[in-house]
Amino acid sequence: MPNLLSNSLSGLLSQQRAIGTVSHNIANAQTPGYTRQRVEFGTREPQNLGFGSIGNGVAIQDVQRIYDQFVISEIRSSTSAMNQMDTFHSLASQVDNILSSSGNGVNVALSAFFSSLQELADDPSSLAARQVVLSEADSLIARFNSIDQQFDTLQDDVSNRITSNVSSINGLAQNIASLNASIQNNIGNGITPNDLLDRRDAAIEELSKLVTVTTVPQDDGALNIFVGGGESIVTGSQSYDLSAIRNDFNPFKVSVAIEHGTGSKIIDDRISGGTLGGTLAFRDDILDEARFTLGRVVYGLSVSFNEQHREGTDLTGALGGDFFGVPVPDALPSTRNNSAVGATVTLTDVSELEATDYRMRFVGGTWNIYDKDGSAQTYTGTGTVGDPFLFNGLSITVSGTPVAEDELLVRATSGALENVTRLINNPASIAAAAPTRAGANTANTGSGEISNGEIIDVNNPSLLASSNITFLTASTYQINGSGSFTYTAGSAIDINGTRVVINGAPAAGDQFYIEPNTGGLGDNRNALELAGLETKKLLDSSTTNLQSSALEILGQVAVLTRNAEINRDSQQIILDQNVSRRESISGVNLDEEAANLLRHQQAYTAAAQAVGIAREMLDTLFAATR
Amino acid sequence: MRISSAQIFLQGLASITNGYSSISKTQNQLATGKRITQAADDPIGVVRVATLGAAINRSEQYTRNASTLEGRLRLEEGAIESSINIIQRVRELAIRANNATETNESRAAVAVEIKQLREDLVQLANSADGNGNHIFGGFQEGSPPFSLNSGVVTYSGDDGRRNLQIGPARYMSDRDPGSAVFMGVPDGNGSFTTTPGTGNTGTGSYNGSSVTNPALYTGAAYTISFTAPGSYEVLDSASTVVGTGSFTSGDSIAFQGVSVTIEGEPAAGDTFAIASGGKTDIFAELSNLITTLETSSGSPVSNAARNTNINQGIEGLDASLARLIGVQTDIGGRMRSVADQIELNADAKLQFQTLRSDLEDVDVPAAATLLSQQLVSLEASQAAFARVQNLSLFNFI
Repeated sequence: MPNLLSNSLSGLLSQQRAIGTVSHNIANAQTPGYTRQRVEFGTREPQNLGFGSIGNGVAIQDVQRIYDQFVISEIRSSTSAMNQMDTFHSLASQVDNILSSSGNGVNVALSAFFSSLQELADDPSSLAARQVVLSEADSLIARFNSIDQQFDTLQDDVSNRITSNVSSINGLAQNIASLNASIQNNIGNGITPNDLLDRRDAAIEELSKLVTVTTVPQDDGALNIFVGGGESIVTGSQSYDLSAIRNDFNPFKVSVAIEHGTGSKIIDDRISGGTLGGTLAFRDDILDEARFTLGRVVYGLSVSFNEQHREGTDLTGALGGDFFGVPVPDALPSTRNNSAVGATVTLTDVSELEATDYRMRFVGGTWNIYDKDGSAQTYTGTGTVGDPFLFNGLSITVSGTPVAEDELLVRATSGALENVTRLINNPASIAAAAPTRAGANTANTGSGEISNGEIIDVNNPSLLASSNITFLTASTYQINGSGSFTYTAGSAIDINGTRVVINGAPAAGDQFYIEPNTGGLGDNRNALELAGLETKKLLDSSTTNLQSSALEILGQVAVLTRNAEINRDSQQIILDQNVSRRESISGVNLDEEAANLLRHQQAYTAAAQAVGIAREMLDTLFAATR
Repeated sequence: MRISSAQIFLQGLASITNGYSSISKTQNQLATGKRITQAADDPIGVVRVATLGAAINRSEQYTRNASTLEGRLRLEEGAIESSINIIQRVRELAIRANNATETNESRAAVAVEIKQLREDLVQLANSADGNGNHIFGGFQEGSPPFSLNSGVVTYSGDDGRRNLQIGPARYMSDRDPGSAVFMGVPDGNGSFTTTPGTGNTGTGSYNGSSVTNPALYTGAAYTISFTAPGSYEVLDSASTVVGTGSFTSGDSIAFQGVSVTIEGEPAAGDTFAIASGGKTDIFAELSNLITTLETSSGSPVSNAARNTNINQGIEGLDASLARLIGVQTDIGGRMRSVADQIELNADAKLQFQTLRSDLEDVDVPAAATLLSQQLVSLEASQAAFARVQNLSLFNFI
């Protein structure tokens, strides 16, 4: 009889607990990261009565979490990949928008500027046309400056994201470390803390959104967590903080570092995945790249335009000065340097300029120079004033005495967008004309015709001296009364920095002259040259024009954005599949729980009936013996 | 497969949000008319579109330049046309003044008219465009290039020819410098001048000349010397006799590939010198005529000199006309070229625009069809979501 009663009681209690578990499942049906639990029943040790054994009722063996460890790690890695692509894509789209917005793209502003120069060439003495050139130059500069400001805003955003991601990672690491402690404690006492395990898995998944992590389970139930391929952030119940520290060269840029015994170590290059990895990749692959490339466009435009502008004369007849204020490349010392080493950078050949900044590092008594991708540059020279380092269109003179490990950042192109200005303020000062002109004596009897003249060396000291070409015979001529040169129709004759071409058949005694272009208000020769810079191949060793170069970065950013979008979408699909798999294994199905509820309720009712029968049997027995 | 309740909910929700996101994209394409709303939509396409945009801008600019050029050429052509009319009028006047019935007084009156015409011509040569820029000054368009001082016109402009860019590699000058229009006109008949000796005592006057055989004419100087009223000899610069003949009034004297017509009765010892011509200018031709017509004459000898001068003047006017007509023809040729170039630019622009439209414009019927498909599938997702969410075993317990 006690057997019957205790069997029924064990049934009642077990079903009650099972109903409790079902209700726990139902209650947590929408809890993120919750893993459904199932009560495992088992028979109690039977009582051996000699003729056989009689069952001793039911006992709960275990409350199990239904999960698949493989699916959980898959979810972590696809979460990291998806979030990296998603962050990269959303940041890259902003740059894509800045560069491609059709009304204010660099290309449209470039087109408008060069159109205004064509209009100037159409009517070089018109002050209105000149004013338009100045306004279009301002729009172009404003475009460059505004892109720079938008890039700065993005740079700030990137820095803030890095800082906040790092602090979220630290918070989650601390959380996981303390969950580890509780889990260790429970498991030490022989208890499986299902809900704590769920919470830890959820915290790790949360962490995977921020950065790719690797986990190593320990025998005591703890999980150790690493980022960046081997930097430990959680070991047992101990967590280690990452930090966002200011860049050695630029205080507005931050880097991710981890504290070590000897100090902090920057691990930007090793961080991958998650929103942090996406942010860092965006900063290096798009933001810096766009600044470099557009910076080079600014140099190509301003340096080449100035060179051409200096070769012309303005409305007052004076030689044109610099039109654009060209930014000066500079070199920043690292805050970690142990000496006062510095450097002066000059741009020697804009067509050789590469779209990159350089990092100079003093190792083993020599300077190593690396570009944005970290590849070492070949240079000539020793870095002294007499023998500067020469490479990629730059000339660098080092000042001060470096000590080992000192670093300099050469901002070859990145400062250009911000610092380009317009120097010409007076519309009359635009140099549309050429300083000299050529002509033929009206008494010439031959059919020789001379070209207008082209300036090949504006620095020639005798540029503005009048010269004449006199034909001694139909096939020989002298210059300024001396020499005797053979005449070939159509070949160039260079005199004092001006190049002229004579065609046709001059007669003996015919005279041609080159004279200063005094009063040449209607001359547009230099304006035409300036307008022609739009399609001239000024960059990349004279293979790329300004428009193409500005488009290059637009295309590059668009491709990266596009790829990020495709990768994000495919990672999203993988993540969704993994989440489905987890949900199908670990998720709560309310209908199933309803069925289980009915099942356990029935079993509970039946056990209660058995208690009733046991009581009736006892009553019968008591009545018989009364 | 086992499905959790959360999964059913999330899947239903995801298909609805995806539906909205694709509808929003199609809607945006339809609203803007552009297939590419962001560079990332088609990275290669967007670069092509921008390149084509710049090319279209340049085509438009070249066409604007060409239209400016056309307007300037028309202005210059007008000035040249008026100049031609003036020279023709002067020529008529000169021929009339050469008539034996004219008197000193009537010739002086003609001189007054030619003076006025000379001033008109200077004014034409100083023509300015709408912006006050002098079109015949070369590069020095800021000040009038021609000035008339006591019968002498001087040119203070230069030889500068301003080119405008009217095509990708096509430049054309939008005007001609005054030096190439009014100055540097060949003297005499275009090849040589014929000058009567200053001490001539007969009534022989010059009445035209020409090069009859360019192969024989070397440009050397000759002198026609009358040995008697009815006979002449031709001497070269070394005084060697290269031809002789008899002469009656109106005869053309031919030698060494040239022919010179002399009228009247040259006396023995009269000479006519032939020399290869230099250059003069159109205004000087008018000024010479004016001086001739203003000079009174009475004797047959001075009448002969006057006839010579007027004939030389008419010859000069013909050379001037030839020059102006040459410039006019050249302008006409350039205007045709500009018109061609404008058409070429328009063709190029159209081609670029077609290419760009293919790349960036949305296919409206296709997008509209897509939109209605997307709407249908969104509505289906919403209906399915609502129905599925209603299902629960708990409804039956």
